[in-house]
Amino acid sequence: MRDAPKVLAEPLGSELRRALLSPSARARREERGWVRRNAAVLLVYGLLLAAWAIAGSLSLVPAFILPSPLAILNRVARDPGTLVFHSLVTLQEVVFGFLLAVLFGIPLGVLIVWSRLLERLFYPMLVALQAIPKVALAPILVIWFGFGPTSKVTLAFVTALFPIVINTVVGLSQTPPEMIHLMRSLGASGLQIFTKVRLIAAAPQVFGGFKIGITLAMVGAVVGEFIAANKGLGYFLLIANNAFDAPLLFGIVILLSLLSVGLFYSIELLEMLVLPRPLRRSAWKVRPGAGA
Amino acid sequence: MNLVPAGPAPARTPSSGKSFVQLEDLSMAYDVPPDSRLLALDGVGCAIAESGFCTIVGPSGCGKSTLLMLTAGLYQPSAGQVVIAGKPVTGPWDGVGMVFQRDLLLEWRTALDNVLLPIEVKRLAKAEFVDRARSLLRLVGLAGFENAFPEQLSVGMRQRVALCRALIHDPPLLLMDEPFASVDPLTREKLGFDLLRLTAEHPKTVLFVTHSVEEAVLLSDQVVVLGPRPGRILRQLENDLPKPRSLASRSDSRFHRLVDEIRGVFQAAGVLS
Repeated sequence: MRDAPKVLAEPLGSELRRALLSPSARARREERGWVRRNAAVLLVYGLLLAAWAIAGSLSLVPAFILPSPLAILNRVARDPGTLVFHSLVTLQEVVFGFLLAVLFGIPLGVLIVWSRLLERLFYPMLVALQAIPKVALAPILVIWFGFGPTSKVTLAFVTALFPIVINTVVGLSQTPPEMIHLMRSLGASGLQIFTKVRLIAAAPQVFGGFKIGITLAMVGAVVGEFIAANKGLGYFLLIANNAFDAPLLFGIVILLSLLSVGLFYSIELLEMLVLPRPLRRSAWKVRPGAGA
Repeated sequence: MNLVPAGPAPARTPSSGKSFVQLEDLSMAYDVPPDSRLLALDGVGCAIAESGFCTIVGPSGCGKSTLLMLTAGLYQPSAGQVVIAGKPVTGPWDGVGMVFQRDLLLEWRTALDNVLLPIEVKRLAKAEFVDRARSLLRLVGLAGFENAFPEQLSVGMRQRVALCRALIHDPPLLLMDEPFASVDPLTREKLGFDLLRLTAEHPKTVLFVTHSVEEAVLLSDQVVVLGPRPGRILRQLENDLPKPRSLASRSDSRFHRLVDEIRGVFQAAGVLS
């Protein structure tokens, strides 16, 4: 129904023409509609890519500084298997680290909101943990958990934990005190207030924490692989760097970026599936204005 | 307490004179960290008849909201007591409906499910109250909006849903804390008359806090005027404005006499200067 205003704006005859269109023709029209809506964005990305390719083919920039898109594509295509292998390693570390952060982060947020004592206990610890540059933490984690994926999972977990806890705390604190009064006047227990009101009201904020958390988990995992590893995209990046293989280096960076984007949007998809409609992406949504 | 859904309103003798709510010499002091105390209410005493409509009017910070919290049993008074139907209040009690300035609707529930929230909290059989919820919504002009989410409703409509939510479990006492303060003046008057119609159909004792002298007079049987902090009763008035109230009540000479009298009380107390 998003097209309704446009239909009205068109001359009357087009209504008839639209009705006569075959389904496949209508699909083609809709496809063209999508292209038209996103034309500006596509154009900008296209121009950037073209400028990059032209700069590469004219050798305006030395290839070891900025290889052309075609060179990157060629290099990646030469051995996609290895890239897939290292991607899967990194992806696994990120997902496990993130899931651990969710598993610990939400209960921690709940505890912090629940009890003043626990807030005073955990909060400074969390902030202190967050204040440490994660690179500095990596060698210690390698000593503790070894060369393998465990140390990377732990690093991903530690980086993703903070935003998830903070967003959970912020979300849970959002419920206005009058709502709590209202619930208590109805005889609601603390658990009822929590499950029926506070937790659901916090959900959009918590999902916001997930989105920040999963991209940070990627950073954590790659940093871990940088420090000490024998597989994963971070490790492979160092190999490419040592070999002065600029096209591969760029290919890996782009791959990392694409993976992060994919993870981000899978959280967004989950949010769409899990949250009731009025709560989806409410952080960006402006509530319809007062009355009228 | 009557919990028969959707049935005819129970026969209660309106304003029988028997008092339903008694506030007995209520004082309330809050501890303000580190070591001072803020006296919010000081020796407030009054009685509200069964099915009576009492408005409490006063300046900001005079402890009006505290008074409602004490009546609901959500706070314990520092001195004095609240007696409801002859029994002293010691904690939250069954039989209160509350409406606040914010509608406090849960955005993820439809209008109907918001109205049914008290039933869920009280673990009553929801199915038995659905018809009652629908009839309440119809009574405030929201027929057809049962499945709308709050974000799709105007501020006035949202507050009407909140009103229905306060009435769904048919509580004998309605506590309202500046319920129409965030609504535009025209809608505000309309909501006031909606409330009068609802309480005529389902008799309730109402304690209604407001900033507006006009609103206090237009809606009530009894007006309690509170002075600035610490809240004390400056005057109690019986409201003899004829019923049923309508927009025409505003041009009644008794309306103006009462409004002027309350303004005079505030002026003498230095609230209006």
